[in-house]
Formats: sequence, C-alpha cells, structure tokens
Amino acid sequence: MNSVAYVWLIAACGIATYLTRLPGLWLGRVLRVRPRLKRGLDSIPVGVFAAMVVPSLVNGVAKGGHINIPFALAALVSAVVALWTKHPLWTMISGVVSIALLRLL
Amino acid sequence: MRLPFSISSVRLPREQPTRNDFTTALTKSAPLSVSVFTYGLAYGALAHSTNHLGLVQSLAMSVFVFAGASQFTILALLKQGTAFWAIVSSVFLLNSRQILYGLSLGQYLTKVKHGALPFLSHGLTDESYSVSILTAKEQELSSSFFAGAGTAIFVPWLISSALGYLIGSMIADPAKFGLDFAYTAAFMGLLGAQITSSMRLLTVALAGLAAAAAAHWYGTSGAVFAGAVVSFMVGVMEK
Repeated sequence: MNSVAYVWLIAACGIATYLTRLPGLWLGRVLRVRPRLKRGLDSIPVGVFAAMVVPSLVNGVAKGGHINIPFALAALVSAVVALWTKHPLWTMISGVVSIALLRLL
Repeated sequence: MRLPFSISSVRLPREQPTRNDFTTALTKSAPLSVSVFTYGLAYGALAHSTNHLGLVQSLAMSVFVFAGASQFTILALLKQGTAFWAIVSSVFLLNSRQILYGLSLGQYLTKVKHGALPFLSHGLTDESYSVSILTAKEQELSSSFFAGAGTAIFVPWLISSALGYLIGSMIADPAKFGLDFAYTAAFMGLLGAQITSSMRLLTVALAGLAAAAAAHWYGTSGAVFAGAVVSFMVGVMEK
C-alpha cells in the first residue's frame, strides 16, 4: 500500500469503528440484547488476540525446523509478564529487552 | 414499542448543561486515563516501527479510529501486507462488542439531544462505557458526563500516541535486536488482560489452534477470522 492508500485505510477503519458506536447507542433506546449474543460478541477480542499471538509464537519457536531457544525463552518471559501485569506496554518492553539480551549471549 | 424515528418528534425536556458532570466524569475516569496513556505509548512506538506510517498518519488513526486494540491490529496486519478490506473487516469484528456497549448505554441516554449523539458517540470505548454504565446505575446520565468520560480517554490517547511515536523514533536503533518480537509481546499483553476465567483460557486454546491452522493456509487475515469465529461460538455456547 502507498501513502494515499493509508489515508483511505484510516478513513475506512474509522468508518467501520464509528458504525459500531453510533447505531448501537441509537438503537439502545428501543432494543434489548440477548445474553447469549452478548457473551459471543464479548469473546471476539480474545479470539482475535489469540490469532495474533499463537501462529507467530509457533513460527518463531520452530523457525527453520529447529527450536529457536532465544525466541522460546523470550516468549516465556513475556507470557509470565502478560499474565502478571495484563498490560501490553510492560509485556512489550520485557519481551523486546529479553529477546535482545538473549540474542547477544 | 417505541420506534427510533419517533423520538425526534417527541419534545424532551431540554437538558441543563452541567459543567459539573463533565468534571465528575474526568475525575471518575482518572485511573483509566493513566492506563490508556501507557497503552498509547506502546501504540505510538509500534506505529513508528512499522516504517509505513508517518507521525501525522499515526495520529490521524488515533483521532478517527480511536480504538486501542484495533489500532494495534491494523499496524500488525499492515506490516504483514494484509489486504485493505481484510484489515477493515478485522477492525469491524474487533469493535463489534461496542455495538453492545451502545445498546446497553443507549437506554440511559434518552435525554441527550438528537444532534449531539453523533458527536458524543465517538467517545464510546471500553473505558468510557465502564465508567458511564456504573454511573448510570446511581444517577441520571447526562450528555456532559458522557462527553467527559470520552474526553478523559481521548486526550491521553492522543498525547501518548504522539509521545510513543517520538520515543520509538529515538530508540529504534538500539532496539532493533528485539523489535520483531514487539508485536507478539504487545498482543500477549492484550491477551493476558482478557484471560479472566478458565473459560477464557479454553477460548484462547481453541481460537489459537484454529488460527494457527488457518494461518498456514490463508495467512494472518484468515487466522484473525478463524480466531474471531471460534471465540464467538465458544461465547455463545457458554452456560
């Protein structure tokens, strides 16, 4: 994509997000949601995040047919920090620092 | 049953603008403003590391999309060369939970003027929803309050996106040994925050498995859709 396409992408993603904001608030005055549907939609982010994490972990750890030890250890550190802090910034910093250090060893 | 279009014809008592509610919302949201600020730093730093987006574009995304998880996902998908519409539909899927926030909050916002809702609605986020819905159960929700709850998130998100981008441009060189891992780690942090029950852990396992299989055949956008569909189904079937 070139930089004009980025402008369109930002616009389209902005509209897609806006469509999840205004119509709901508007319809909220007349509609009620079923709990099942609510739980389903509530779970979508978990699935999306898992989809961003799991394949890249599998690829990173098993890169080139053998186990990539620095990657595997950094992933372990990040997983612990992720479950402990539950925060992307601290997990990102610990992950980047640990993989950089492990690669220097 | 009331219909949405009948509302404009009904004269609702004009709401008194209350600066007080606005500042109350800012105060109530303060802890979340701090947390959003740290998220924004991570977003800005990653936006710089994509080598695709300039500062203005990265900030434009924070203004117009204004949804943390989606913005992280857009960056990661851009980096992997995912197609335009696959990115847009992933963003829609990821934000579809906000439709529910709207449906749940809308019933308390009956006094908000019709023309104000399109502007106020842009401030709807995970954070402003939580603060507003808790308040709505104690007192009447005014548009000033909802505007304050949105502003309390919007402003720190913008400032920290810019700051993160600038920090990213300063540390890009020293961090090059580990930057390829930054996305995976950032998403692990987002995922960690979602694991609130053993059911959620099962969802992660099933969605992760489906995503890994889909990634093999269809790439990252296939993985995102597989993960979203599986987690939706688990959520619907949950007792």
